[in-house]
Amino acid sequence: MDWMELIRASRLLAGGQPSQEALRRAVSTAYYAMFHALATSNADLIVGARTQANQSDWIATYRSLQHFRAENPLHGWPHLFSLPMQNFAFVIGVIKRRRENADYNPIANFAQNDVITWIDSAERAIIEFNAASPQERAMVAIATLAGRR
Amino acid sequence: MTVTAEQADQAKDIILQTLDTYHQGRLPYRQVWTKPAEDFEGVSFLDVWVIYDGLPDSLDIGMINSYGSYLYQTLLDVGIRAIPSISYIPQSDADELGQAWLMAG
Repeated sequence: MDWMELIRASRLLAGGQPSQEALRRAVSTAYYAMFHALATSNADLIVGARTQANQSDWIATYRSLQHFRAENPLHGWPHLFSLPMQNFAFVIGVIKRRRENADYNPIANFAQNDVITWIDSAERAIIEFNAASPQERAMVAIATLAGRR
Repeated sequence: MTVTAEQADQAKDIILQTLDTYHQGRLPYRQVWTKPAEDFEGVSFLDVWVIYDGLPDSLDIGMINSYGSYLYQTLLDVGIRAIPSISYIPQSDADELGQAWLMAG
């Protein structure tokens, strides 16, 4: 999954004069952009860049990320991480809940401007996350794949 | 555990004390609304509406992201364990959608 394409799809859904249903899909897609950016980073750091030889391990690592672990470990250990990493954890935590509302809460209402702001937030958070050092992203991979007790 | 109404008010005071400084006076906000919430896994959130004048593209996204994580840590420091979910809402949208937001779970 290409996180940039997911952000682009999210913007298409939220643009113009969107229905509430389109705004719901936009929120959900922005969350998945963050989730797949994190899953890609985890697989790249743990297994290495995807090749024909390591593809099955890469995919297994990619798919190991669970939704509830995507942000919680970073909130638990904020002192270990830089500000951009804390921002990523914060944004994915908030947008995950918004995605739950978008997908499952029939009375939730979404404001177009707010949805667009959150798409911008998600995009910025992913860009800064990907710019972090491989060492720090490896720590994130361990934190998000192993969880905490 | 969901934050109490008193904690939501305390958080609102903190937001009012820090918002202007953090955004370096560039966010012309009018009001701040807060309400306690939870996600499906029981994680506590604090829903926040910052109602502002101006155009959405005047918002500084980098500052919005870092203010969110700063506020989260600040709330933890005073014993409020809730992730602040901040919406920056233009006044016109608040007029239209505010009542529904207050009523929604």
